[in-house]
Amino acid sequence: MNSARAEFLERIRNATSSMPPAMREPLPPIDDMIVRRLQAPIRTPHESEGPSAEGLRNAAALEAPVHGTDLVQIFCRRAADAGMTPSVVKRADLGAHVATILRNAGARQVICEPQLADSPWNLPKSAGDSFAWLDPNAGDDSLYAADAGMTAVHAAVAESGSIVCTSGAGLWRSLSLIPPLHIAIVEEYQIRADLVDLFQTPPADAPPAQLVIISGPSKTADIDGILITGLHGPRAVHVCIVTD
Amino acid sequence: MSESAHDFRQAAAAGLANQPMRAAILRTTSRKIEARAIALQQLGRADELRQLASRIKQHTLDHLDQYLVQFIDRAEASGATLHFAATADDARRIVGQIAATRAARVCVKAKSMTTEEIHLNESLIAAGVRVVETDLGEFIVQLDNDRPSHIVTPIIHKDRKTIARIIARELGVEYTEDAEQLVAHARTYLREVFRTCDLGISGVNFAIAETGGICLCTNEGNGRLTSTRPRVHVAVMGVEKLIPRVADLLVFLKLLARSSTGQHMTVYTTLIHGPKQPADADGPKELHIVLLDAGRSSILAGEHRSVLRCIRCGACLNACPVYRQIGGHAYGGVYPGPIGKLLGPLLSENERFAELPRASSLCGLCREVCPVDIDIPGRLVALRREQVERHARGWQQCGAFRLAGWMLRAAWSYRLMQRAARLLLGSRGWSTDAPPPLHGVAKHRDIRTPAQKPFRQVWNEVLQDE
Repeated sequence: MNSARAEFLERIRNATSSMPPAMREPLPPIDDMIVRRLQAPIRTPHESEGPSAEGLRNAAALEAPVHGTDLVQIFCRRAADAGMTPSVVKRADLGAHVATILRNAGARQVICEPQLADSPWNLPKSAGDSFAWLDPNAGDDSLYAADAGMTAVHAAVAESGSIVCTSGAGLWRSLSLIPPLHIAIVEEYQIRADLVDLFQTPPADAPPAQLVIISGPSKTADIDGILITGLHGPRAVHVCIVTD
Repeated sequence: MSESAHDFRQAAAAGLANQPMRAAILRTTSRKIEARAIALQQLGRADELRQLASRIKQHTLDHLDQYLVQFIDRAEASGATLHFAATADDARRIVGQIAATRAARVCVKAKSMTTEEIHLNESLIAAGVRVVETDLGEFIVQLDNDRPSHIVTPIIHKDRKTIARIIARELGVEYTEDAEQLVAHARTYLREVFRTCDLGISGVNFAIAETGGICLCTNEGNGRLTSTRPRVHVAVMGVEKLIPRVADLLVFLKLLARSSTGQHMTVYTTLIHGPKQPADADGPKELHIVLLDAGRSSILAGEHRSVLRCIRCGACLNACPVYRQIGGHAYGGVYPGPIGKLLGPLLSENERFAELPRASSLCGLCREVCPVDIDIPGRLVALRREQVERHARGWQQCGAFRLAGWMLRAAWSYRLMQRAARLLLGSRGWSTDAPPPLHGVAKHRDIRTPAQKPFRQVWNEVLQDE
């Protein structure tokens, strides 16, 4: 076992050393301006979440500098382009809004993490009694019986119209994956400008076992180039952005 | 040429004769090229981003030993088990052993060209494991006992009727040509497999040395299911998949999907650090990462190192005028298209793919679209030169070029050659045929026959007139 590792590394070491150090490509610095497509907004000091304030820069090639509320609009546009169904809703109306989505989709059984009940959204209670709320801890049968899965998110990205979900204590990867409909609840402050802002501050803790950037419903175009959704993952993703 | 050499000419001719396949490929690749162009334009500084991507990859390859050590250290710290496969055989043995010791009966596979390269499925099936490809294209390829013909869209060569027949036949459902229904049938079938599987095998799109994480990019969701449902997840990765930092990953995430299909991002970009953590509700209990060499260290050691920058986006396939006419099967190996013309010969131990470096007009479109700026035409010429030096080209070709080289050494021999050419070919402008020994060349290229008078004669006459 150990010798396999040692021999393997030795072979690679010999291969790389065939080129003299002077000729090797140095590590290129990552120029933020080249990678970014969307500027991060200027944040006032009391806003703790989101990317650090970067200041406006002269960037003809990039989109116009954005401020707080623009991110929501950009996110909605890009998410819709990617095939998701974004919506903006006031906090007080969230429950009714979720109920409407579920009713329109004909979803009766909804699965969500138990701790969602402790969130400021008052879900699932605020959505009403006409739905059966399943507990994923009850096992596979619940998971596969659910018509819809409802989750919070770790973050959202305006530039690509993506939502980001992570694994973690008591969090289920399967809820945004197995039920045919996924409802994601996003707080406005969770929307980052660009993918670059997602990983900007390395987390103090170890990274989660799984972080997934979701940019649409499950898609395939393998059959004659025809775009079909919902092959393995959800066929519809509703993103509800909560504002005050 | 050895017995087992792939007869490219014959395979290409077969591809050219297959009109429906050619139509399908032209349609799909045209769409993707257009979408790619639009998507890159939206990036604003796409060319600079591509240069950055190219330099990141080259830097990583130039220091691969360092980054490999760092990756192994971090990945193990996150709870993954690392394995070292010097050859394809080693990799098959390692995965087989994992499957056996974990009593795995049903194995789901997310699409991975690397596992195709090492013929992993066959060895697992031989060991009694039920292996199910879950990417829709690969699933249909598997049902039909076929081979993929494109590194991103494996069944680009199959039309809807063919797929409908396969689904009806293999899944025992009523025949339908409705794409939605076909997908629904596949979903039902594969959903059940995912529910009961105990081993998941995937490839790796990018491995991050800084954190020990691996990144999987899929559109369908099977990558997520493969790394979530089964209790054991095995990720097979060629060592060239490494990149230094998380910040570098973002550069590639911006480029991969855009180069491949014109999307901003693949629908699911999954970043994995180790197996599930104790407090996680779901996820695999074990993560095994199999590091694969299988010829890559040889490429790394030589002048073709830059070929390893490839991120398997498929843009070169979509752009290549040769691929778009003959399709992927004509290349005879796992990797088709321009990059396949390099990887085929470089990764194989014999002359099986000797024809491939010559299967190119060197138009350079592949290089123009490559997100990591691999000089594919340059590498093809270099491979051709190596073949000549190895006398791998056959004595007629080597002889002819040697003769031409001798003829070009002095003015008198050059003029002799010209006179001979004029006698042999006549002076009739462009010609589509020629007598032997140029008969074979004329079959594939129009010959420009010599002018009535050589230029130096015309020049002298002009000077005399003045």
